[in-house]
Amino acid sequence: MAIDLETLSIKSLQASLKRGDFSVRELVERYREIIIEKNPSINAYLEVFDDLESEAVRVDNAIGNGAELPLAGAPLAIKDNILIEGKQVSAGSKILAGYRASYDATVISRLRHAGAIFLGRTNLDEFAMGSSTENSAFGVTKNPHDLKRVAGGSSGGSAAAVAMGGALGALGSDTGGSIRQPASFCGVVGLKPTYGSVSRSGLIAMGSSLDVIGPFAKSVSDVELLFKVVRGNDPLDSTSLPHGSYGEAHPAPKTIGIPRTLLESGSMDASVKSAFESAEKTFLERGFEIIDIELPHASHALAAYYIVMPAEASSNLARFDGIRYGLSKNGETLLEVYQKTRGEGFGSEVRRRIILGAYVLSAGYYDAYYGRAAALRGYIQNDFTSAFKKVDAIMTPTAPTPAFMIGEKTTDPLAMYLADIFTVTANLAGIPAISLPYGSALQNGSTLPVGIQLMAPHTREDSLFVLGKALLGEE
Amino acid sequence: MFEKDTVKKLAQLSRLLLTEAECEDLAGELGSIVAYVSEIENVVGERAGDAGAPLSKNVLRDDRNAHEPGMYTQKILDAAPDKERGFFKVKKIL
Repeated sequence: MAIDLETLSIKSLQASLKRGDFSVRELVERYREIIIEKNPSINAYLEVFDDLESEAVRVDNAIGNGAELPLAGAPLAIKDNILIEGKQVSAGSKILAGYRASYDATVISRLRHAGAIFLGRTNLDEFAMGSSTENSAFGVTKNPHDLKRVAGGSSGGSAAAVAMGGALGALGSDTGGSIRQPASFCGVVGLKPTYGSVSRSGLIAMGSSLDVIGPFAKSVSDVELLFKVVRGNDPLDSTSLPHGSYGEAHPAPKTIGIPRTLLESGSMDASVKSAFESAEKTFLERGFEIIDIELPHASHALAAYYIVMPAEASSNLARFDGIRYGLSKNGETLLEVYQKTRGEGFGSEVRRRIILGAYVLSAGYYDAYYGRAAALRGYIQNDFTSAFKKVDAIMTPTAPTPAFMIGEKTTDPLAMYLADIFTVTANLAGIPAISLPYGSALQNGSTLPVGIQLMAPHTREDSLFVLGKALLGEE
Repeated sequence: MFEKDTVKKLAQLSRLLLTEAECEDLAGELGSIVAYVSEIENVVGERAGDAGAPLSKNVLRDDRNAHEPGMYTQKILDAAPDKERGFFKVKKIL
């Protein structure tokens, strides 16, 4: 029978498979056809896996045997910085050329046990460093809503894969906005979970105190479903939250705070402003209370972020040296092997952040930069703690603008960094945040999606799901 | 202001081989980024030390439940560009 992919969700898929409307094998074949048709112009996927049929048959058989799998047959796209055993993984970089993962990331084994199918690996800014996927060594991912525009980044491939109808859901990683900003640009839902709620084992590290893996999908319900499968304590990640962190039930959220002073400092596009005002109105109509709040230090979050993140990234990327895996350039001495491999293997943004990280960590500058940024991070977290005594969630736009043109910001790194102005605060504080597609922007004849961001206290993703469903009108 | 020589020094510490032109470009770009992030000086000032307990601390795995020696050796070596008799092979150091 024909499968209506427009209305299909991970949730509704479970009922369809049980009724026998179609098989996982038929579903996966449909997705493969869509990817073959659309990917050449969008470049969301770097590779479509060649074992789709056998994986689909495996899940069909499990369903036939009566297995209860929460994500049975769900076709997912995986950001190419998450390891799947035996598959290539590039992190969008030349430096990992030819490398195949030697183990599964914890999120991958959790999803597989839940019955999910991995369609392929998706494009990203090199080592997740960027806000547009223009830093990928494998070409830019184009926005499915306007091919002249970026899909956002760094998880642009995952967001575009869902937006173009080439996956029902996807995984990305978020260090400063890398799930939420592309979700906003592509018109899908994207969740950055609480730091430590989802294991980082098998995620290629960028900023270890900021990184978190999270889901994309077409609806809040599907994002919730994916999150509940991937979260949980993992002994392989020492920063993983302890068992029971999500045990108790909480009262539904009622109040939403808006940091008006912060919004004014973000130079918001008029279309984003109007979408934001309309979201505010919708929440009021649906019985929620809106309260003005202050986050006094949040306007300095981006500055603190661009100290902490490169410092951690420069340390993490020291392991790519041409000796143990990936690219290796020949040299006369060991030092030359290192220098040539890293000089040629890393792209310009990665080199920029490594040098910046080395600078802020160097003797004589450590206290001035890293020390102060760490202190500021503490102030920002205190701001949130105070705000969450008054409100259940905080609302901002996800990004100050809708998707920008390809090439618009590539010559000015600082302008690119400003795309993350509303998202980095949640990473610095470790709190969960979601981007919801709401409203649209008309720019040069294209209708583009706009994203609304909601943030909640640690481990209170439940509030984000309730509010997200209320805003988007999901059951 | 970011000097080209500073970039060269940092590139050497970071084991990155860069051309003169790349160092030149990076000096300009890093100059504006460092100028931007320096705004935190006015916010935190000399108070850096009194923010209370640091938000980030190192979390280390307990050193126990070690796997059997050699269990993953072959798998890991399979990914190495150059190896010999169960070891990574590198250029002569001394």
